[in-house]
Amino acid sequence: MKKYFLSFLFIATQYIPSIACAWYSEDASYYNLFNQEMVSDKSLTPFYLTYDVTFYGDAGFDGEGIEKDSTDYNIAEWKKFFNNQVSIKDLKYLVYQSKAEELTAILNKKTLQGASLKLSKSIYLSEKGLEALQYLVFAKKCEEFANATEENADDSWYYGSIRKKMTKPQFMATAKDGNTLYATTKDVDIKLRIAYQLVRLSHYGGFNDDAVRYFNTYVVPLKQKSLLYYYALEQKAGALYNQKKYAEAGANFATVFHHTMDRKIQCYASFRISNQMNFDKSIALCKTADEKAALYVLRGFNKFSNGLSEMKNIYAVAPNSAYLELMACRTLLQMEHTAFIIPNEYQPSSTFPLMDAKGKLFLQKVIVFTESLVKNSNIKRKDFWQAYLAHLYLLNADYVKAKNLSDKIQSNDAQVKAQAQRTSFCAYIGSLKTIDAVAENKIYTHYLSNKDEQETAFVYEIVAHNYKLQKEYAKAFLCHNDFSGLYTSLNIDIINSLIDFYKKENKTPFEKQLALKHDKSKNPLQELYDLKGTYYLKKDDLNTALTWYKKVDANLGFLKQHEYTYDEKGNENSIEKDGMYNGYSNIHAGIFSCAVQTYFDQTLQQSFTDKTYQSFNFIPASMNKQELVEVLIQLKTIANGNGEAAAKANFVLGNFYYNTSNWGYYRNFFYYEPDNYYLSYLYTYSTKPIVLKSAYNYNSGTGIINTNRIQKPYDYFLLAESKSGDNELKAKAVFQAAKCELDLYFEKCEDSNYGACWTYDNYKPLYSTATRPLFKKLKDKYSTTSYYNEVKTNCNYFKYYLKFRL
Amino acid sequence: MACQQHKDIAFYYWETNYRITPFEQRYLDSLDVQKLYVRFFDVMIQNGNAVPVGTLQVQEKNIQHQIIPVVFITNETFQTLNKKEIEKLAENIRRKIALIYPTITDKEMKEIQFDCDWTVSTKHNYFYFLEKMKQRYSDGKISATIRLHQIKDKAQTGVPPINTGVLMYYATTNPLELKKRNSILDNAIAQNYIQNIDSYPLELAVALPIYSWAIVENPLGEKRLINDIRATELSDTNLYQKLEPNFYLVKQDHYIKGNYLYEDFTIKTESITTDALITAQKNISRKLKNKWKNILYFQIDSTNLTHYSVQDLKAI
Repeated sequence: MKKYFLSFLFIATQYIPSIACAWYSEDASYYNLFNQEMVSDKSLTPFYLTYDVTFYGDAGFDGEGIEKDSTDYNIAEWKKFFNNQVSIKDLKYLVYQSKAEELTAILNKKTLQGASLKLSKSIYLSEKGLEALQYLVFAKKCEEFANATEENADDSWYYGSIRKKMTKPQFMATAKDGNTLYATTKDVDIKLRIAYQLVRLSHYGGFNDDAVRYFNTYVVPLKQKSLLYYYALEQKAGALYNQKKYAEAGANFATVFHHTMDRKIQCYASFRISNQMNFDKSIALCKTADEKAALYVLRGFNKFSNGLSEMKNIYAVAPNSAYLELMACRTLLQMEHTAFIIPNEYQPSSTFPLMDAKGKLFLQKVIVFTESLVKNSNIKRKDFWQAYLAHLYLLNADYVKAKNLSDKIQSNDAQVKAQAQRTSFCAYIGSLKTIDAVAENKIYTHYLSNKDEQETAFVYEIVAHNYKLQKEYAKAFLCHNDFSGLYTSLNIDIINSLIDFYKKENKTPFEKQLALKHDKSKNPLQELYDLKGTYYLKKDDLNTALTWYKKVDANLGFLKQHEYTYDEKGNENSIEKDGMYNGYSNIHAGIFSCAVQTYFDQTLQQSFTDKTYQSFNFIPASMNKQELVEVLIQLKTIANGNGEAAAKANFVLGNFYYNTSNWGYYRNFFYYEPDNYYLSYLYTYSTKPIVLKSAYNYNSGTGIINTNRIQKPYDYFLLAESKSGDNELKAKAVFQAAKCELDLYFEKCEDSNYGACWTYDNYKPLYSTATRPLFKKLKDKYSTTSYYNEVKTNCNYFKYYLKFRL
Repeated sequence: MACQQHKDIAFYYWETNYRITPFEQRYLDSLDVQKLYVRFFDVMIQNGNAVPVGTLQVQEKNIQHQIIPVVFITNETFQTLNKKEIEKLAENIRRKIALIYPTITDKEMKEIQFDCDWTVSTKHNYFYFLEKMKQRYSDGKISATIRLHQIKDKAQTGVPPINTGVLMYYATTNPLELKKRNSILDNAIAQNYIQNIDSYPLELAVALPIYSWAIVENPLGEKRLINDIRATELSDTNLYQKLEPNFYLVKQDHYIKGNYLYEDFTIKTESITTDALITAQKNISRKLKNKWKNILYFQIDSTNLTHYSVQDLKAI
């Protein structure tokens, strides 16, 4: 039994970031371009490489596996035994569901009268039929010791199923029945089944010597190498293992692994050899080359193994075996897992295929081995191995060799042919230095008929990278994105390139296809002008922003807000909300307003109680971006002056910049989000842009340039205070500046030393005089204003400030 | 060294089969060990349920030492369970300990220890669990392991509601990063973690590492840990090529301690010298003064002990 070192290992794994969240798939983290289904023995399917589950085809996180071989090989044996006269369904009833009493009744009366319809088969009354029934009565008795139960003798805490324990007298009594039955039974198949039951009973009861003895004296002399022989051999192997005869057990497991379809996984799970002497002995005990090869697979199946080493071992004994193909596929896919990892923001990559020096050296060794194998005239499946070698060349970025070899492959095997074509096209793409019109045309034509998703994704990965290197940003971007991919960054190089691209006439068919990536709008140029205008607005370059907004149709709108309702059955209905911010227009004048406390889930009316902005009659109740910028330009002109109007202009400008910062009610404004919540990945206090490190292309987006410019509103508010003669406005301005003050404090924390500025147990810095000098100013200078009283009632931090006076 | 305070020495026992060899027994006697912290089982999540795994198989009774049951619980357990399930877990653990305990000792149970690498997100559930256990052992003591990061970030990760803690003065970095420094214990790193340990509001014992392992990497960058391997075992130049101190290249396929290693694998061995243990002791003493009374070694087994003399362990 394996020792449990779970907790010991956990000590070590505490630093490993967990990316194994519910929907993460390791199998989907790389481009698997070599088809392991080409392995010639389909019964090896569970042993294909997979990272997500133990055996290929098992259901993973998504609950979906592949359809398994559902053949019941035991029932198939019974069907043969009864000369195909009984249906599978009725056999399943006979073997698995019928009660011993039902069978005994037939045996006693030697008639089917009174028997259930499912058991009324005349062949059951034949001599061998009766022996079969007798055997089944015995087998059902053994069953209770063999079937796992969920009862737990030790305590009531569930820990999986355990087998019912058997006492020595129980074993002796049951075995005695079996011995008698074995002696009196004539039919060899039934004798073998009885012998199998006895081996299993002994093994499960922990009577390992008996298990081995029964095998040698009851199973072997029958000279039947049928399915039941291997079932019995597996039981004997288990008993040998318990006797610490690991080499013999290993050889037997390998034999059963090779000769059965339905016991392979169990043999793998039971196989364990931990020293060279036992392994060598085990190899020597295997009778055929295939069994030896199976033994190497049992050892090498572990993903940590060196597949090449086991390939060499198998090649030496069974060069044409499917086991060699299996190990070869597993090895190649493990290299794909490293080399073709899908570039992502956590895995910055500038090269593809990606392999370090050690990996490359290993790949070279696999290539050298495969080259010599392909030259071996004794190898029968040349086409498979040529396809394999060509794919190794692809991994090695040796594109000419990969393409030449795969184009040369002659095969009648559809899978091999498809593989060769895939490798060849990928090699062609890999070999391109630039993507020109010729290449575009080739790609376009290739994928007119080819719907291979893995290959397409792989090819676009490289094509997009090359476009990026060629500074054709629009095409690079469109390989993986529509315009929403720009919303977080407003990358101007891409926007400019897209404007040129969409203006371009006479697009090639491939370019036309790329242009369709952004199919939400009939007028992409209008959206691009808006994006460009907003880029400048974000930079506060209002005049340039205005020139681009002027090109935009006043009615442009592309974002939609939805309202979700649920009926009694829990069905979701979504209704499009009218009149909300749509990416370009319906911007509420509240963007210039404020309140003591603002919550993201409040309505605009609740959030924006301050009406100062209404002194400026040029601010419409609802605006598009062009109008907004025009208002901003006017406000700035007024704000530069002096007097009450200037003070107010500074105040409403402060509100605009605060509202569009990461913590204002309109924080979604610059990110093109239809509403302001559920966007924690965007809204940080930090002002640092998230730049994707050496991004291979734009498959992971374009990064995030955030809009947290909290110093700006802070300055405007304090200017408003200094320019105003109205204590109420001054109080408002100082309090709103105090909000910015706190955000600036957080910003400092996040950008320098996260967590050091406050803790979950210590909120004091959030309302102490040291952090909040403007709270002090508010109290010292404006405590007589009515706004002061509003703040005192509604702002908890200020309440604490007054209470604790830190 | 005149005024060095005497420290009680105890050991962790972390194997699945409990049996003390005569060799181990000699160490326990010479070091006047009174307590053994024995891992009874681990708790982890399987199919959404908290289940015990790796339950201790007691091969012989201990008539000499005070046995302290230790239960390791994965952090995932507390990410998964709700309050009601945590209460059920506490009861299940109590019952399971009660079943195992009399098989290993006849002495009265005085303490139970929990080992969990809890985090900010699980502290509430884990602490709730500890409260529930305290209710069940109102006569005895509940202790828990505290990892270095939990000492340093106590404001975030919180202080568990227990009687005493055991500072795990090891596992300073992730071994799978395979850097040059020692991941079991790098004294410089560990020292940084305990800058403010004197203000930690719990009585602490200190656990020091005497284990060793090898971090093995295959040519494609996959890594595994193999326990109980030291550099001295890799001296066969037919099998290993020494690349630099503690780093080796496997030259031939072969088995080591039940694991099959292949050509081209690299190995990094990690173990802790007596000097490193002494430095650790000094660094902790500087911070904790005489506030700590006990040293626990992780873990007792003959392979580990052969590398430390009784005098070495006494001197620490």
